[in-house]
Amino acid sequence: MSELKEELKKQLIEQLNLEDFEVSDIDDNDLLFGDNGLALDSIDALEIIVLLEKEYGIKIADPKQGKDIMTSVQTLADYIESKR
Amino acid sequence: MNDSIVVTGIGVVCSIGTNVRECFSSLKNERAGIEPIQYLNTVHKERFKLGEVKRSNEELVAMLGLSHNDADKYSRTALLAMLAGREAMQMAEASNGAMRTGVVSSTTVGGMDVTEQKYLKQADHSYLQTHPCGDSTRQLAHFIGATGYYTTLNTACSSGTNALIHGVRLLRHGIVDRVVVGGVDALTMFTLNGFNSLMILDTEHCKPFDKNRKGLNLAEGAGYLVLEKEQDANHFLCKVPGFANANDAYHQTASSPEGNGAFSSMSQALEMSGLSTDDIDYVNVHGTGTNNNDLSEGVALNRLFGKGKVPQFSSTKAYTGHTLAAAAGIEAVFSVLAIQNDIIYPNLNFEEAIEDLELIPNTKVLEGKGVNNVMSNSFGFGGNNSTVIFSK
Amino acid sequence: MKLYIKSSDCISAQATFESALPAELSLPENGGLTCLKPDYKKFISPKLLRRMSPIIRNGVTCSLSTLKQANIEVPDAIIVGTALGCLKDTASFLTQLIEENEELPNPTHFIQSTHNTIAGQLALLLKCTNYNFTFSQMHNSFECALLDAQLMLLDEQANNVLVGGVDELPEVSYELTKDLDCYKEATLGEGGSFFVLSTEESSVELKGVKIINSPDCNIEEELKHFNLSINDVDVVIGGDVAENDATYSAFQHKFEGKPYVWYKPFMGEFGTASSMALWIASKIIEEQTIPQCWLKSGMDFNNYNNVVIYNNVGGEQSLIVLSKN
Repeated sequence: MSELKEELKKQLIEQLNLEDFEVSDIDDNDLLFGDNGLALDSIDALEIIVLLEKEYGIKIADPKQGKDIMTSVQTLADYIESKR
Repeated sequence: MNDSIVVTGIGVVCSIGTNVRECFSSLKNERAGIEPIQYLNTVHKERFKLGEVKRSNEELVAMLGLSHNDADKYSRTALLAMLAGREAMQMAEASNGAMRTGVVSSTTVGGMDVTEQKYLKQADHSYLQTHPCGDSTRQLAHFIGATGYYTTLNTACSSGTNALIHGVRLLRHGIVDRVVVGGVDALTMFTLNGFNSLMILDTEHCKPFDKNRKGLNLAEGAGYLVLEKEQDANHFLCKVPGFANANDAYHQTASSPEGNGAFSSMSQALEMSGLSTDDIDYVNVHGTGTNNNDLSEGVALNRLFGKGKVPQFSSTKAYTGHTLAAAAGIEAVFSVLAIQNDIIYPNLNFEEAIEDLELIPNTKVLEGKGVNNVMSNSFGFGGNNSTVIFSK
Repeated sequence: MKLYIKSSDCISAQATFESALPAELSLPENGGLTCLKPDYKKFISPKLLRRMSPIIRNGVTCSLSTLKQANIEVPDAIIVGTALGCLKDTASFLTQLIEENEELPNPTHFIQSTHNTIAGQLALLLKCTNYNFTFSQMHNSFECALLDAQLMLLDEQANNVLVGGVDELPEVSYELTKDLDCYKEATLGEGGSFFVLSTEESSVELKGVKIINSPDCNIEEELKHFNLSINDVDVVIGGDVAENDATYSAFQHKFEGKPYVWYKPFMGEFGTASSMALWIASKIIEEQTIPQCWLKSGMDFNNYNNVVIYNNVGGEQSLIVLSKN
């Protein structure tokens, strides 16, 4: 699980061009969206949906469904685990 | 600077017809053009329905009377532009023969239809000549013999109306005596995949302004108007008393929940026209069928006209699909036809109103009531919102 | 009504940003001329910067600096000219589509690929809800934007318009375009110049812009539209891409003996290169001197009233005229 989270953080930084972030800057429970946390936006959400499908074979057809899954690195990892 | 501007010619090609007569007949008979993919080269053939112009490039070349050997010189974008542009000019020709004619066209992806077929596959890069947005405009200008001034706007899906706005400026300052304005886009694998990556495509026939709308259907086409000053025109189809462009400044691709940009472009256009909200008989809405656009545009309509007082409105994109830069040009042609024929088109596929908005579009062909003033909306990425008003 | 250039800035392969006309130029090595990178973070937050390709970074940074110099927070209009738009994102998206057979391309490239991304980003950053246009007419893209700005001001629909031209040369498009006929002799480049065009007085007056799409250009006739004769012109700026550029020889000949400025060998040839020329022209009027390195022929004589800019690529021609106020 912690390996998965580490991997996710790396992928997020790379895919979303979070140039000023290191893996250690992102806590498992940091909010990905909203002002308190990484402050990602709806374009990032679309990128995360692509990432989930490409890297983990998980399809999210409805962007609204993605909201709960994409709360934090922890929730993303939980969801991926549950699908494995 | 306040010379009255009139429309003296119209031309159109899209999924419901290759000229004004065919399109008008489809509109009256509720025939939509959104169908399984026939022409576009894509792996998604089975997955999406598109509003394709039902002609191959070879057929378009023949319709234009061009030599078969020259077919490679033109992108599909240029061919569509030339077809609709020629029709508009032929209608306007009855006016004044020897005038300086300008062209202000618009397109979002220019000659991408050619580029995407050859890119990374061909060592000779001469195909890139048709890539720039300005190429289709130059081809159109040469084809109709208008080489005085031509230019191209690219403000995404509001482009066609912005072309009109720039065109009117050119007329009023005497830079041209007559100007062809509008837009064109050919379907491409690039835009199909692009909009798909944004998750705003409906795999079925789109349902603008419906509670259960799922997204838009991409499409292609071209629509042009010929504009002149009223004092220079021998005859005209209708007037263009108002128009405006405003920016939503909210999000790169999404519209604000309050519909700010849409509200300001509509209200500024109305102000310029000197008309009041009661004078508008029909609104040809942008109405793409995406969750975000229709909600935002609906809120703006309610703000401008007042809840329960919004005039007859419909999105003709359920007929044509969303033709991007061509949308404003095509819908301008439909708006002119609405005025000429006192007709209001239905919003196909509508079943249930969006919650809270209480907005019910017109769902049947309405004839016999006077249509004097029509408002047409076109909104695009980058928060770009434009509105134009046509009057009898 | 007279119109003025209230402020301007330029990002190019030379040290032009937030600067006077450089007195020294670095000559290109092989390949294309890419922009010197300013400190973008001074102008754009890292959160936004992370997605921006060079054309957006340069266009936005150059615009913000230009507005700052004019003390304008929100202009009455934003008008951008770009010949090829956001090429890097376009190429990335297209390459991905082709190589991965249309499977799951990244949406960001598509969103950023639209030509009006620069003007749209500016509107977002400035919270500017005003008129927002993007022109794309090959080598006249900037001129069309400038004309629209001029007419809008003359119509009293605005007092201060932000107008500029910008293009980018990512490596992929360098490789693709370097052999095209129209660029055979040229060094390709990239960059952006932006201006606040205003009804408020400054030392630089924009007399006007003329776009000519016919193969011929009778320069004497064209100058009459600006109430000028050849004799009235103090300095000309030509779009020559090389020492013996036949496209400009007749034009240069008309102005024999006058200072003749060129810029494309140092800033590169690209669709909106003429916006660079307008920046140079406004600096010449402001500073009343031309560093030797910019002169193709003639001598600096420290008294410049009328500047004529001429551009011609493949028959798409333009004239821009500036005067000292």
